[in-house]
Amino acid sequence: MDYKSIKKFTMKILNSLKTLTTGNKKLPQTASGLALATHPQSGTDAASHIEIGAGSNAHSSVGSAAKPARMETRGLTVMYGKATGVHNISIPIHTRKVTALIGPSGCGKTTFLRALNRMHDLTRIARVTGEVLLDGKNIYDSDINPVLIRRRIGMVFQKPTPFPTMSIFDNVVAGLKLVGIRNRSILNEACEKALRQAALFDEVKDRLGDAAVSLSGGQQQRLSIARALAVEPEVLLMDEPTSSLDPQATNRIEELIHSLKKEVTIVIITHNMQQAARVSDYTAFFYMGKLVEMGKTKSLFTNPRQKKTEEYITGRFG
Amino acid sequence: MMRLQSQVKSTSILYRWLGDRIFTVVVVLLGASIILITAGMAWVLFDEGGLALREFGFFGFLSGTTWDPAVQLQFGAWPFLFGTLVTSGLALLISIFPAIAVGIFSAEYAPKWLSSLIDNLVQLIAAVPSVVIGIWGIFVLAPWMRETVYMPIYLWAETSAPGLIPILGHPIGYGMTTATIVLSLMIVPYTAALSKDAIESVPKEQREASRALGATRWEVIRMAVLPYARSGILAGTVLSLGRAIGETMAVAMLIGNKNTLPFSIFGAGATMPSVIVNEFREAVESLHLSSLMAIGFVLFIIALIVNLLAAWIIRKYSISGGKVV
Ligand SMILES: Nc1ncnc2c1ncn2[C@@H]1O[C@H](COP(=O)(O)OP(=O)(O)O)[C@@H](O)[C@H]1O
Ligand SMILES: [Mg+2]
Repeated sequence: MDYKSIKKFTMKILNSLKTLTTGNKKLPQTASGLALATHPQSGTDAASHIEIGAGSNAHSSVGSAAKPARMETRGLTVMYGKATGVHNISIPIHTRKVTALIGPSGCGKTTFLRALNRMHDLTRIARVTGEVLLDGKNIYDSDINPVLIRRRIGMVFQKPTPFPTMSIFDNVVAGLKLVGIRNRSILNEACEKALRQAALFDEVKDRLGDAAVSLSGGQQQRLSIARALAVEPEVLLMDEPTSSLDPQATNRIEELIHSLKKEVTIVIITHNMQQAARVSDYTAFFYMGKLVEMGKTKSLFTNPRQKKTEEYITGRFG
Repeated sequence: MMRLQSQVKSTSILYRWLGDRIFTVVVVLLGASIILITAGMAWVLFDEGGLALREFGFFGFLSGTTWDPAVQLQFGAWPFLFGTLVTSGLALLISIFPAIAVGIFSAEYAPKWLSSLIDNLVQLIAAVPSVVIGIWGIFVLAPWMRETVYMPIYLWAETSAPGLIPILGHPIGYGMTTATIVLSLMIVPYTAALSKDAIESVPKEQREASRALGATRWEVIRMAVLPYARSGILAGTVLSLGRAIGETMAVAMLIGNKNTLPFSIFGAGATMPSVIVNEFREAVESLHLSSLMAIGFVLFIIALIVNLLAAWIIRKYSISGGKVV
């Protein structure tokens, strides 16, 4: 029995149950309390059960993006030797929402972001303390493999970073090949899906074999996003993804972020206040390595609680 | 303040004009002199070797298999060209992977102190004069190879596979294999250092991009580092080949110096630099001298080709600013 025949079968039961209940409705409501209590009741029960079953089935076929993990930080501190990168940050990262990190340059935004997928492991002098909880589990626990964490929490950098010796296609599926997927049709499908998500597919569909570096800067950045999305991460971290792009390319990336948050939790650093206001649901304002305040983007921009925040968003410094 | 400014201006106009001119002239002269010296060297070698090249023809000289300065006065460079190509090529093959591995280890895996220790050792090996390496080869490596490798194999062949004897050659210890091993040791530092440079110049962003995709350390190297560094590594290898081809003293001390084909695996042979250094003082016949010069000219051309090849590889395959150029 395959999936389709099961579906057909359940639909049949569902339909017959429906006619049963509607048929029952024609009966006088008060006629038989017993009949009403048994047949239609069990009918709706079965129907709702099947609905849920079918629903969850459809979801699981979407993949890991179906149910992104919950994420939050607790007392997160990053030190570079004796210097503090960020100090004692405790914030929630809302699931399937866009969280913007803003603040003057050098305030620790990048430092904080890189702590979220253990990128500091690569920097010798960086030391991370505190917790980053992913579904309640600290990703810095000793039994956690950082490689697996980075597969669940993708990252897009300030500058586009295509692998220069690889084609467009190979760039997109690079992460999938890492996990051992070699099946051409799976790779093709994943490549197309990721490129579509990154709103790049139509521009490159006829030249997937071309070198990735033949693309324009904006296209390269969308390619970097597609590459990060291809492994179906639950969280996507973006460090000023539009800072090296022209307004038009920036626009496209912003639209992209908007459509992506249906499936992926996004944390984005931006220098640009308007951008934070446009794309994010929540905003965290950092200043000198500390969190000044975090809240719904709208309320933070229209009604900041802290004076520092107000000064920054009105452009008095930064 | 104003006075100071006018002062600066009046002295600096002439100074700057003149300084600029002088600097330009000096730079151009120095640059041009390098070209002139190189061209002059090539010309001298070509001119001095002219007698032999006219006598045998350029390609006839290259492909001539007889080198007989005593009786026939016949000079063909093929035995030495062959010896050079075989020893250098094999030395490159033997050394390339260990050397690249050293480069990768030093650049990517070793902690800082170990990495700098390796770098210093590598530089030390490169700095040992080749005559010292030759002496070490004569007193340590060659006898050891003879006792532990050549002799047992030779004795085995004598009883079990006599057909192999001519190919193996006399196991005197000094010969093609010993020279090749020493050559490969001598070029490891170059390939390793150049590979390490190439690996270290891979931008941090490339490594991080692959890390962020969930690559392990080795996967980062395979996916981002080696492809990016490939031109540097390849060019480094070619330059090391150039070193091997030009290496003179150690090879001359260890290769056994036999002027006539056939060469054998363990037996004596010769290379272009080794025959020059061995026969130069004894060459009385002008055709003999000219033939040695002609070999020098061929070596010069090979060196030129190798360097051009390295430059071409760098131009063709190097990556700058994310663009393949
Ligand atoms: N690799 C590093 N080594 C030492 N200090 C660093 C490093 N990276 C960042 N810092 C320091 O940490 C602070 C925060 O930097 P960063 O997180 O990059 O700020 P932002 O992204 O907000 O501009 C700065 O003072 C910066 O100098
Ligand atoms: Mg930053």
